[in-house]
Formats: sequence, C-alpha cells, structure tokens
Amino acid sequence: MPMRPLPKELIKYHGICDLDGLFRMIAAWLKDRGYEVEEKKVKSKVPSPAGGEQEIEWSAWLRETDYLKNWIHLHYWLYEMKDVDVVKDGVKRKLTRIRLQIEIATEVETDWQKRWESSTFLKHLRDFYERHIIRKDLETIWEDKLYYIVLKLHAAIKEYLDMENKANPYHDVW
Amino acid sequence: MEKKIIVDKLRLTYEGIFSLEELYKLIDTFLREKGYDKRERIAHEKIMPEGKYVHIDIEPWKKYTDYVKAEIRLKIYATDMKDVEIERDGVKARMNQGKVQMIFDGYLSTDYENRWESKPFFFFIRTIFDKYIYRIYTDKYEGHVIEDVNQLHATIKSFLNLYRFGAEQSTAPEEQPQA
Repeated sequence: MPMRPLPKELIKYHGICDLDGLFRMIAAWLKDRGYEVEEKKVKSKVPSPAGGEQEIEWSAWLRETDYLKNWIHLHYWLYEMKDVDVVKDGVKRKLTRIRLQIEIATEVETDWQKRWESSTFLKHLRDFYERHIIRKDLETIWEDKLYYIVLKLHAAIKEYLDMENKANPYHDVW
Repeated sequence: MEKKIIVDKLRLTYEGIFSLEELYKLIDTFLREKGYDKRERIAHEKIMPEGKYVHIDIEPWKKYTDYVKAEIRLKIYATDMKDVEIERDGVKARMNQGKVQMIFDGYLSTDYENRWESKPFFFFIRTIFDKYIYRIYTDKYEGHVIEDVNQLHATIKSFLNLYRFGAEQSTAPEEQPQA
C-alpha cells in the first residue's frame, strides 16, 4: 500500500484557549466528513513548575474509493499547560494557558485493500497504473481534494483559537 | 529538481494601524486569482505582554508545465500587535496596531518531479537541456515569477497605504484663487 504524502502544515499558538473544546471541535469536524478517528499515542510528563506537558497523536482515515484511502495525521505538542479561571460575559470558565503546536500531515494511500500486493508482477503493474494511467487523476483530483479539505481543517483550528490569519478564501474549493 | 532563486528577499516593513486579518485575506485572494495553490507552512501566534507576535510562513506554488513550477515564499512577522478600535465613516472597526515585516522570495523549479535524476546520464542531459534548449522558456517563466512577486508586493503596499492616508486626510492640491 504505497503512501503519497502531501505538504505538512504547522500551527503554533501561545496563549489561553479551551483545550477540551478544541479537541472536541477537531474530532467532530473529522467525523462530520466521514473520517474515523484513532488516538494513536498519548504521552504525559509529570508537570513541572512551568506546567504540564503532553504529546498526542491522532490518525483519521476515510475510504475515498475502493482503491484510495485518505489519511490525516494530527500531532499535538502541548507545553506549559496551566489551568486558569477566566470570566467572560459574566460567566466563569476554566481555560488553559498553553504553548501549543499542531502538525497536520496528510497522505493518500493507494491500494489499501492490498489487492496488488500478492506478486511482484502485480506490484509492477500497480506502479505502472499509478505512474501512467491514473497519475493525473491522483494529482489533480484526489490529492488536490484532500489537500484543500485539510486546509479547511487548518482554517477551522485557527478560527477556534481566534488567530489573526483565520481567513480561508479557498473555502469554496472542494 | 533544480531550484533557481528569482526574487531574493524583497522586503516590506510597516508600522502603524492595519488589519492583519484583512491583509491575510488580501494575500490569499491575490494568490488564488493568480492561480497559485495554497500552502501555509507555519502559522504561529504568541500572546506577549507588549502585544501579539504573529509569524506566518506561506509557500504558494503554481505549476506552469509538467516540468516547470513557480514558488513564492512569503514570511510575515507581526510584532507588538495590539487591538485598537477606530471609527471610519461613522462605523467602528477592530484593527491592529503594531509592526509588520514581510520578506518575499520567488523561485523557479525545473524537473520538480525528479524524473531526470534517476541516473547520472539523465542528470547531465537535463543540465544541457536546461542551459541551451529550454532556456528561452525558462526566461519567460522567470519573468512571470518576478511579475507576480512584484505585483503582490505592490498590492500589499497600496493596501497598507490606504490606512496611512485615510479619508480624513487629503493630498489634493489646494485650489489657487483665480486672478
């Protein structure tokens, strides 16, 4: 099952946010688009005076066609986590002061059912098929589509964190 | 892949009142209209006592052919950014006050699919091809990259100047009394 990686995106944020809400929003965003979300890794360190530290990895996948599967990998690094009480519009809320880094890596997996893996001849045939027959479709339709969907997720995260560059003029693409 | 620097560190610095959100939208819209695909490598925001620090690294690209691709790298650094509320034409608007520095780079990549790099002989052929045969086309594409970067630079400059010379100020020459 060859993987075709797409460019990675990185979001860094240092400030106060609703961390649980952010995770819920991302999971809901992915589920709404038909993705299955798996939490692959959660690593916590004993909190230091600077705050707690965590590393979390999510992988979300969607069977796009019988031949293609989309993968979105989210890697979170959470540093200097401290709970703070914030009063907004007269309501007291528990938020987190945090230094956060989110890396979004995207891949298109071809032949996910491993139908072309049984022999060397079939593997070569698959390479030929991908390089010469469906290459344009892969690049201009499937990879492009996934890439712009991920840009929307990127914009949704920035909007949730109320970052200055939250606009996405490509919202109508795919 | 062969990458040639066409525009090297063209800079734009501004200090004053602006809207980073609008500026970002303007850049994205410009690139979209020009047919570039978006890539945002880094979006970094940090809230500091002296104001927000924002670092955005955008790397849009456009494929001219299966062999030639244009890439622009735009780094935006906004520092000491504070929210301010201003009134324009009787309407209150949320703006930012701070410093912005932008660095523009333009590249032209040939053989971006690395098809001619599998064997040393192919690599040699590609170099000869790039230098002597495809040169006229490459020169034309280089001109496109320079034009796009300069146009983006000018668009941003005029956008920022819009705020500097607001509606309250006029640069029109005063009318001279007729003799």
